[in-house]
Amino acid sequence: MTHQRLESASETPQEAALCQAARRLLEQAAHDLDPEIEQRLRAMRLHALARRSGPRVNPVRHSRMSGTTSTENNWAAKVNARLGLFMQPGWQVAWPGAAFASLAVALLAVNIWLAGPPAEAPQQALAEEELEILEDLEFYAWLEWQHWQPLISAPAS
Amino acid sequence: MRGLVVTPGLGEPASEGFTSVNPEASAGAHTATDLDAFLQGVERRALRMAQIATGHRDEALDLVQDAMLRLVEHYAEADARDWPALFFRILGNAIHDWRRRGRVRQRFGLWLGGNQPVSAVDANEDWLSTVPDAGQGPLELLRDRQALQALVTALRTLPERQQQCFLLRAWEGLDVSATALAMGVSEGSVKTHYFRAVQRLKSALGGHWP
Repeated sequence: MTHQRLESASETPQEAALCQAARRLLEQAAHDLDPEIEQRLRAMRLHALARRSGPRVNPVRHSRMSGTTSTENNWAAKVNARLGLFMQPGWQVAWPGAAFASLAVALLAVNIWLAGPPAEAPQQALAEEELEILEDLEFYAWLEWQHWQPLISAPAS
Repeated sequence: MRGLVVTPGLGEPASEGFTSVNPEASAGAHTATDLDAFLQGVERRALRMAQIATGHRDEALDLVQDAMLRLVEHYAEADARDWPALFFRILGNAIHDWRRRGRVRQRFGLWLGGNQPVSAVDANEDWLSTVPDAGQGPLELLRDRQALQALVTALRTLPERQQQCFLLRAWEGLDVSATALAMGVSEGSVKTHYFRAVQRLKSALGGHWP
C-alpha cells in the first residue's frame, strides 16, 4: 500500500492545499521523535510480536503435527508422538489430567464411604460427659441438704 | 474489505509508510517480519495521532501499545491489507475508551472536590516545537513550528469523529471504505465527517495558513 493524499472531487484548491500542508507538517512531526520515545516504541513493538509467538505455539502439538525437529529432545514430544495425544483442539488437550483427577476423587470418596464413621469415640465422649453431670447432681444435692439440714434438725420451740 | 485503495493520481507518495508486506503473505500466512514492518511503519503516526487526541505523551504510548498487542493477538492472521484499518480501529476504540474513562474520572473528581480536569494537556508537548530542520532557513523553520502548533490546536477543537476521520484520510491515506472500517461507521458518515472537519479546520486556521 502506498500512502497518497486523498481528496474528493468537491475539494477546493484551498482545501487541498490545507490538507497537503497538514500532512507535510504532521509527517515531519512524526518523523522527529526523541531517541527515548523511539526506543520505547521499538520495545513495545517487540513485546507485542513476542506475545504472538509466545502463547500461541504449542511445541508438543507443533512437533506432532508438522514433524519438525525443534522439539525432538523434549520428553513430552516423544511421549506425545508415541501415544498420539494432544491432537485435539485446545479444550480437549487436557483430558488425561482431568480424567486422572476425577478418578482420584472417586477413589477417595469410595474409600471414605467404605470405612464408615468411627464408632467408639463419640460414645466414650458421651459417657465422660454423663459422669460429670452425675457428679454435679450429687454436689447440688449435698449442697441442698447442707442448707435444709439445720432447719430440719432444729428443735421446735 | 479487501485492499486499501487510495485515490489514484491525486497526490504524492508519503515519505514513509507501510510498504513492505510480502504480497504473497497477504492471504494469511504472515511472518513476524511482516507484522514488524507494518507496526514499524505506523507506530510513529499512531503515536502522534494518540498524542493529538489525548494531549498526553505517556497515555498515548500506552494506547499505542495496547493497539499493537491487540492487533498481534487477534488479527495477526488477518489479511495484511486489512491491518491498517484494523489497527487504527483498535487505536480509535482505545482512544474513545480513554476519553470515556477520563470523563468518568473527572465526574468523580468533581464530586470528591477535585478541580483538575483529567484531560488537561500535559507538559510533554515539546514535540510541537521541534519540527525537524529539513534544510530550511530559520524563518521557514519558525513558520513551520507555528503552523504545526496552530494545526494541532485546531485539530484538538474538532469533535472526536471528525478529528479521527481527518487524520485517517488526510494523513494516513486511507480511502473512504478503509476509513469507514477503521471508524466503524458508514462510508457516507466518513464523507460527512471529513467534509465538516476540513471546513472547521479551514475556518479555524484562516485563509493564509500555513
